Amino acid sequence: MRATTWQGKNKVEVTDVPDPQILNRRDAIVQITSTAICGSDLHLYGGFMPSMMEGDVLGHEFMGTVTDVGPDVGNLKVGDRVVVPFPIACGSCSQCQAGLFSVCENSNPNAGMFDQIAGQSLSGVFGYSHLTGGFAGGQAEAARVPFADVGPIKIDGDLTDEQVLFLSDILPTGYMGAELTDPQPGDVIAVWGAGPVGLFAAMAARFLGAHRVIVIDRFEYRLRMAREKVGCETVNYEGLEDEGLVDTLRYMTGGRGPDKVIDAVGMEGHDHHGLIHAMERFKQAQKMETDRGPALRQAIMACRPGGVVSVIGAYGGLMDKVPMGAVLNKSLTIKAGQCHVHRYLEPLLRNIESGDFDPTFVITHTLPLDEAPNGYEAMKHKEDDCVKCVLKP
Amino acid sequence: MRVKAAITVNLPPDEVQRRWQELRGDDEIFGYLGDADPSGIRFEPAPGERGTEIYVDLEESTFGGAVGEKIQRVAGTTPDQQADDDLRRFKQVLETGEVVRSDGSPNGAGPRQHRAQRPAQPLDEPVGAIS
Repeated sequence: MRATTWQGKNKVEVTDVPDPQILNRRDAIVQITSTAICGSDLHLYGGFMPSMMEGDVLGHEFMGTVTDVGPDVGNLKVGDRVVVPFPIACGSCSQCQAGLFSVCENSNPNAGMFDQIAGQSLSGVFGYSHLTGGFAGGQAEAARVPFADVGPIKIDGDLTDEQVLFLSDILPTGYMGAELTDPQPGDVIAVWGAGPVGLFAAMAARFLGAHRVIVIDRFEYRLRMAREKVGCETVNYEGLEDEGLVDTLRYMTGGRGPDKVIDAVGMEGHDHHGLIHAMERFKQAQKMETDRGPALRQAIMACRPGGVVSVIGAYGGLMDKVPMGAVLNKSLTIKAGQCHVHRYLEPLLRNIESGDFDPTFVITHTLPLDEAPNGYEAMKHKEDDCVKCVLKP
Repeated sequence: MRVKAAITVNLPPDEVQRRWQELRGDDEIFGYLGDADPSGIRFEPAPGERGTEIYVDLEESTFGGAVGEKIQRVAGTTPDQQADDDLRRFKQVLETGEVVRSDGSPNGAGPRQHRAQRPAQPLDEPVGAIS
């Protein structure tokens, strides 16, 4: 079959690889009808994530049709149309039973590697390096789906692929980012990053009852989307002159600062201060720091005392100069996590069916699978006002 | 050297102990602990109804002393690394039914797999383990 494979820093190729096969009794094989490039795939593309190997099949946002099931998959049959959550989760360990699917204790065969960088491991993840298990991803014609009796959600009815594809990751991820802040009437919530996850976090924050939502980015076309499609206020930090972002947000909120802040940026953030940005790029290149942190630092500094900092942007390892003094002295609460997608599938599907959410607005590019390398370039360099790229095998 | 490792399995102690006896000869799961002295392995109920804590605490003489240990560590085959992986596979079998495999680690958790990863793409040879 054809599959998008990692070939080194800033290099992906669509190549021929063997067809997937059932390796465990609870596996299914899914013929993929739609898949997408995630902002977090750009961390792999740019070489920021360790433990990638040449030939790794990329992609963790995908859906399609079941073509084969292992002997212990009772809930799916050949022909079912499914969306597959990006974390792989067994459903039976105590973390899964507590609803914390992205920290499943069993699904990552390379958990011992992850232990060394985080003390304990993330679940297995499709197409996301060997630290997360070395599972082939879904930017391909087909994929093996482990624990298919737990993860995939069946889609009946006439919803389009585009309406439901983002249940695999970015819609629940954005939703969880908002939910972690427990929005209350009267809350002002600031979201760093107007990429697809930030836009969905802003949309969910409004839906969950926030009074005002402010979205921060440096790309005007993305901020326009936040205003026009999500109904948010926006700040372009590159457009600020003398006063910095933290002061600007403080002024916009009657001197209090945003009640809750959401970091939907992750490890490749940009700092308005050119020197700090250059220093962090240097440290990343020298492997002295894996994660650049301007968004998280600003979010912590901007948040009002007693507020909540929600982190859903993808970080991989270590970040320098986290303002812990501000966290302590302002009595902040930090909440974070890779999304526990499984627990949001049913409720968010209902939100899509009822028309509460129409996640299709983020799609700016749709390409055939063979043009995946162009999709990566467009997303990385924000070419042609790219927000989200969907691939069609 | 002292070999210490621990894991919690989400099942009651009597069941975990019974399955340990049943499976300790299974070399798909146990590469090291299968032959370990039973006095070095302890089963305790986990607090908060989280199943069973398994503690491994063994005295092991390493061939080649400190140098031998260093070589094993680089190769990913020190007894404590092997004990960790044995416990992980045992937990997987009890909680999920089998050893979890990926394209990069088709044989499941194990120190040798960590250092000899295959690319994360489907295997070209049939595995044939699934009936």
